[in-house]
Order: sequence, then structure tokens, then C-alpha cells
Amino acid sequence: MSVTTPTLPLEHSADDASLLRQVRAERRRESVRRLVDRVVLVSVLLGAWELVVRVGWVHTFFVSQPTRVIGDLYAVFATGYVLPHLGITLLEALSGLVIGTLGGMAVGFGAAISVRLSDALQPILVAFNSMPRIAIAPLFIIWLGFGPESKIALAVMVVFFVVFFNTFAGVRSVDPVLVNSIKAMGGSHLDVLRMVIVPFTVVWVFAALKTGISMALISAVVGEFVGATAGVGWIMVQANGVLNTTRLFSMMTLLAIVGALLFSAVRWLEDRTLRWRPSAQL
Amino acid sequence: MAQALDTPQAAAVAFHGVTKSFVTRDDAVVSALQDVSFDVAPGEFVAIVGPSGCGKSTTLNILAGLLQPTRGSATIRGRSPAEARFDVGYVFQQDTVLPWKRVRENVELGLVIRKVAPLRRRERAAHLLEMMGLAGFEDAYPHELSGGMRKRVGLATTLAYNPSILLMDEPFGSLDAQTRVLMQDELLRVWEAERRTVLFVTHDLPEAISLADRVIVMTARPARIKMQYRVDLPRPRSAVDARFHPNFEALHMRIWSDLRPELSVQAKLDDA
Repeated sequence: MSVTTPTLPLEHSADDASLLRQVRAERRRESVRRLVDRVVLVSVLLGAWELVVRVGWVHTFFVSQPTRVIGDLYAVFATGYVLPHLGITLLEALSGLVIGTLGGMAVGFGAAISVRLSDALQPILVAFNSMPRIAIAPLFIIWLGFGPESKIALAVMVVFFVVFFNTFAGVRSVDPVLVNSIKAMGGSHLDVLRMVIVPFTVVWVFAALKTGISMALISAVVGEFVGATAGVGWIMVQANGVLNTTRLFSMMTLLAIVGALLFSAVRWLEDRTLRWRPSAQL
Repeated sequence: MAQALDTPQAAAVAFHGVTKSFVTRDDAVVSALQDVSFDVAPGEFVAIVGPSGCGKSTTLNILAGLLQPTRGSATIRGRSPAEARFDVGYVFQQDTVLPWKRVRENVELGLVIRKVAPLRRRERAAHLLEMMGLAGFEDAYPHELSGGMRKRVGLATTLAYNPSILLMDEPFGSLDAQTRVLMQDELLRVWEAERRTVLFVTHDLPEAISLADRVIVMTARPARIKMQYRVDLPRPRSAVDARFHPNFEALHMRIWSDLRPELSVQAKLDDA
């Protein structure tokens, strides 16, 4: 009896090619429709906002209005007023994100590998984690002053725990049979770490990083609310003092855009790093 | 009939009075193995059959150095499993192909651990992939392959570093029936070409008989050796043809009559 080796088809026949074209066209149509739906929905919401102000149902003093917000955003960029402040806020958030992530990963790996370390750390970590860490902001201002350092420290505090817990959970959820398989090949602890544990846990670190971005940004801005001499949060405090709602809305919009851009950057990095996965979700 | 068992020359694998007990969460002591002794001659293909969960995998885990025996000694070519860890290849029942490594990188894992130079590593991996019918898939990620192909990548990974002892724990258990037969033939072909020592755990009796030189029957937990059978089927074999050999049926009946009561005992243990 003859035994043939099953293989995947590597080339497409004519039928396959036409099917492929058809499916691709269908996918394209679907993505266009999705985009149109989203644009329409956003336009309706913004239009309604503009309308209630123009008709006079709500005073512009309270909710501003989309056209004013866009105008203000344009103005703060055209004059260059916002740029140094945005730079400082970004510096605070990104420094906090990077330091907090590296620290969280280091302690997370350490604790996951050493039972003794994780047992010793546990009560401290639980206490810190159940505390609303953002509330430590006033202390950091006293300790580190009005400059970026206090905001970086705050962002580190917030990001560290997210990354730590995810790294720890990631290492703990490694499939033991993969570890045993490397050990049975004669692999050392270091081999297990670099071949199995680290590549697997990177998935979990990226998940933490994606929530970490918005948390770092929130920390920087809240730190600036509490006490600062510059930054987007500082602009908002100034605007609040003179009841300038338009400025508040335009700064919130700016922060949302910055957050979304940073999120996409991490997603891009994730897709590049995790090519081995069947397909990136969402 | 040649009795490899009686020859005093260094056994490839020797189990002497091995007992393995575990302490469960609720402080009960459970024995997986009870005073198990057997030898495997160099180049011999031995299958171990027994009820699921009786302790067959424990035997292999001890030989791979993943578990220590509570009593008794396990040796590989006269050395402890820890000392012999570079001699042993272990094919697990589960999928152990690393999803984050390409096929070629997976096959090279054991060679990386042995610090083989990159060029030689590549050569060896290419040879193994060719042999296992995986040429052309070097750069694929495991998720792009079928279950049977991944199993072959796993086998290639193990064979790549040329272990003198192959431990196989129901390696084809997760495959569909046709793929399983293909893989059994593949294994026979590789084994007959290179004659490594193989210790093959399975609960599939026809599989054990069609592959092995000798079948060891284990009892329900705590596992002891109940009986050993020499398989008198000609080599080279094909996994399918072996099943139609005139000696197959009688041997199957005899081993089955030994195995069957153990299955019911184990089933009662599992219910309790």
C-alpha cells in the first residue's frame, strides 16, 4: 500500500484564484461599510452637540460646541502655545510608562520564578494594589516638587503594578508540558526561561502595556492638576480658573488623540513582535 | 528465541525496584509505581501498556529526570537520569512544538541547548525535515500546520539531537485514526533505520503489538509489572500489515486477557 504525505496546497488553481478575488472584494466592501457607519455615527453625535447649543437649549458656557473646540485646537497649535506643554506631558507619561514597565517585568519575572520572593512580596503588593495609587499624587508633589519628576513617579507607580501582575500571571500560566519538554531535551533553567517563559509572557506584557498607556497619561495629567508649572494638565487648571470650557474640551480632545496614537504604536509593535500568533485579535 | 533480557551486558534502561509515591493536597499518600523492575536492551523497542492513569507516564518522567523515584534506582546506560539527560529524547502526548518558533527553529531547539554551531544545526534540521516530509515548511509557524504535521515537527525535534533512548508517551494519542497509522509507519521506518532504544507508553494495545519487540503490561494503580510478552512478528514491519499477521490475533487475545481486569480495577479506583 502506498502512503502519501499530506501537504498544504502551495499554489492556487484558477478556481481558487477567482474564489480568492471574490472573498477579497467582499472583505473590502465590508470594511468600507464599517468605516461609513462609524463616520455617520460620530457626525450625528457631533451635529447634535452643535445643534443643542445653536438652538439655545444649552448655553455654550457649559458645554462649548464642536466648532469652537476645533477652532481652539487649531489656535493653540498655530500659535505654538500648546507644544511645550504637550511635550512635557508626553515626557512624563512615556518615562513613567517605560520605567514602570521595565520594573514591573523585572519584579514580575523574579516573583514568578522564585516562590520565596513572591511569598515575601505578597502582602506589600496586595496592600499597594488595593490602594487608589493615583491618590499618592499630593505626596509626590511634596517630595519631588512641581517639575516632571513627581508626575513620572506617579505614572511609574500606576503602570508598575499593572505590568507586574500581568507578567506574574503570564509566567504562572505557561504550559508546564512545554517547560518539561525543554528540560527533557537537557535544557537548563536559563534555556527554559529564554525558549518558553519569556516569549510566552511577552503576550501578557503587551496586554498590560495597552492599558498602561492610558494609565500613564492619566497619571501625568492628574499630577499636573495637583501641582505643576507646565503641561496639558496645567493648561486645563488655568482654563478651569477662568471658566474656559472650550479650552477644557479642546485639551481633552488632544489627550484622547495622543492616547489613541500611542495605543496604535503599541499595537503596531505588538503585531510585529507576535507574528507567530494565528492572527492579532480585534 | 533470543532473550535479550538475560544478557548481562549494560542495559540501555534499567529500573530496579522503583517505587514512586506522591502526597496529595489532602495529605493522602498515593503510590503511582510499586516496586517496578525491568531492563531494556540497547536498540530494543519496548511498549508499556496499562490502564490510563496507572503510572506509565511516571515511569518515563523518572527516566527523563523530571521526577525522582521515592525508592529504588533508575539508570540509563549505567548512569542516573540527571547525568544522562543529553542521551534522552522525550515525545510527549501533548503538542510540545513551541508556537512562537518557526518549524526550523523548533527542530533546532535541542541542538541550541547542546551548543551546536549554527551551520551544523541548520544542516541537521534540514535533513530531519526532509526525512519527516516537512521540506518546504522550514519557515512556517506551527499554527499554519495540521496536527499530524506538528507531531512530525515534534518527532523531528527529538530525533535532531540524536538521543540514544527515545521515551514516547502516547505520542499519537491525540491524532485521528488515519494520521496515527501514518505516524506509526513513520516511526517504524525511522526506528528500523537507526535502531535506537525506544520505550513507548500507550493504552492502545494493537499499537503496542504492531510496533514493539516486547510489551510490558502494567497493573492498575499502584502500577506493578503484571506480565511481559515478546512480540514475534517479522521485521521490517508496517503498522497496518502487522495487524493482519497470523500471530497478531493470538498475541492480542493473550495480552488483552491480562489487561482487561486491570482496566476495570482502575476504573473503580477513578470512581472512588
